[in-house]
Amino acid sequence: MKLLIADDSLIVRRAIERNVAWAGFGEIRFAANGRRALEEYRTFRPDIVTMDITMPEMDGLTAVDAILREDPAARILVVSALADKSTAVEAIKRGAQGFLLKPITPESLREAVADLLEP
Amino acid sequence: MNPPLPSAILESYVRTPDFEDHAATLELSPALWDIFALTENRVTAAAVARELGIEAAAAHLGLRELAGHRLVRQHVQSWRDYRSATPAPAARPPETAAPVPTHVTPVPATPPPAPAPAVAATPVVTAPVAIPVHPVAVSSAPKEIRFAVTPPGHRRQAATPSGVIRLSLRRTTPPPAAAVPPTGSSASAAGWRLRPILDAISRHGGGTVTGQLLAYRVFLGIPGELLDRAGLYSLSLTANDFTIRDPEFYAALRHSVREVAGLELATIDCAVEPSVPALP
Amino acid sequence: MNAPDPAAAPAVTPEHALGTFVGHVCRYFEQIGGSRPEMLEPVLERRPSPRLANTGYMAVAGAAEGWIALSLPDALLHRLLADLGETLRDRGALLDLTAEMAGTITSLARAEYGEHLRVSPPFAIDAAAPEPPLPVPPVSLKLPFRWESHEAYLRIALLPPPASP
Repeated sequence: MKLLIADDSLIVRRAIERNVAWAGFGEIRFAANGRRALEEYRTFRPDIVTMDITMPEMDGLTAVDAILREDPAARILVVSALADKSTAVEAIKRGAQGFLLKPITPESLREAVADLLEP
Repeated sequence: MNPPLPSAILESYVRTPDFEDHAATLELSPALWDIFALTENRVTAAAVARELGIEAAAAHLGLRELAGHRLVRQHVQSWRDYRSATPAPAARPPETAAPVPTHVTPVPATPPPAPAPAVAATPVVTAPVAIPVHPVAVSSAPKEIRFAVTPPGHRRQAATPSGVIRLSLRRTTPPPAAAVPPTGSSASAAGWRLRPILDAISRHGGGTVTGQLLAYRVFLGIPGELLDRAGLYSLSLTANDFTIRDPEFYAALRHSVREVAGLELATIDCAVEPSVPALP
Repeated sequence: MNAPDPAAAPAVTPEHALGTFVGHVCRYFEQIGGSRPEMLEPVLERRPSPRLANTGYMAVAGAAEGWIALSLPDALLHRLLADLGETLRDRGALLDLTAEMAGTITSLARAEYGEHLRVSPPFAIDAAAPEPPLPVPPVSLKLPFRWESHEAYLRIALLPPPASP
């Protein structure tokens, strides 16, 4: 299985990588902004994407739109500090399958990824 | 004859009350510790330079750097405190008294010190720490507040206007004035305690952080020059013994308390009693 | 980001809008580090005291105009990184975490008061960096706090209101 982690914070990318070790991803790639996430998605075709909303160059929601236009079956977990319901609803409306709040805890990440991996 | 020293080098410094807390976690060059060791009593940069045999400008920079680390602060006083601390000159003898003949060896009169020229404060330049950086060009601040998130592994180098002097002195509020009889018959003429005013504003703002923020907004309404004149460079919102003596400051505070907090200062019990005990 | 429409939502005081930053800082430490910080004696400063080793800046506009800074010492960030299970300790990692904290707090504040308070994306710099291109307020409010024996602070720096006619 392949995972793409999109977040402008190196610390957060590494934290997500550490906390999904249990899931057995064979390959993990990273992107520091939405534009790079879209480019990586095209070549890497990951099984799951974790996408931070607030990123430079192209924000996460725009990247979610772009990825789903190219691959409607993409499984995207939106990660954000924005706690308001409207952002969560917006992300799901755009096709994301899950929403994870920052600061991320290992438990919340495990639960969210496990939900996405369920058949 | 030696050239007159810039006035900045004659400014005196004292240790901050909590210098031990700061010193415990600091690592400084031995040269700076040499300067700090001389601050056990009030000291000027000129005195430090003489004692250590260094340039006065270097001593001054050293003291400013120590102030930046909150180990020392400039010694400041209000005019009232200075007057009460300085002994009054001896009374002039009455002119009718017959001069007493004495045998005195004439001493050449010492010329009065030349007035110190107006010298701009020496810019404090902090040597940057050598760390690997990836400079990112930053445009000058636009009118609208807009700042990009720092990408991981990158540093922002923000442009600073040239000639800006960054002062890192941290001054505490001056000590309360010694007991001074009020100039008028009203007890409030002696001054107004700031703490009850701040407490009232804070309570009105909901206490804790929101109350403190309201007090801050009140102070934003006071012209900076009045704060400087009062010596209010650093003021604790919860533990200060500052007394307002300047009627202009009081008027500005009254206006700001009314405009920002919607309170009337006259309803707050803050008048200073005629005899204010001197606090340590 | 569109400018907030004051008529669209009930008025909120600047104190409540800004106070939310303090609340989110406390909750961040609680969630990541396991305990809330202790707020210390607040101080009004005519000239800001030197910033600590790592500082995240958040510019605000709307209900209040100015900026907020979160200034953190290395030792505190080392502890948070350890709590996150992170082994990196270089300056990049410290500034990254500082920016991430500021970004999280910013987003939470925007979510809570976004109608009244525009918050720009934050940035982080170290102590040696030049002063950022931010307006210098006539006086700022320093809110020191202590977390697990490490002292840090939030600084609220607002521009004075325009003079009344």
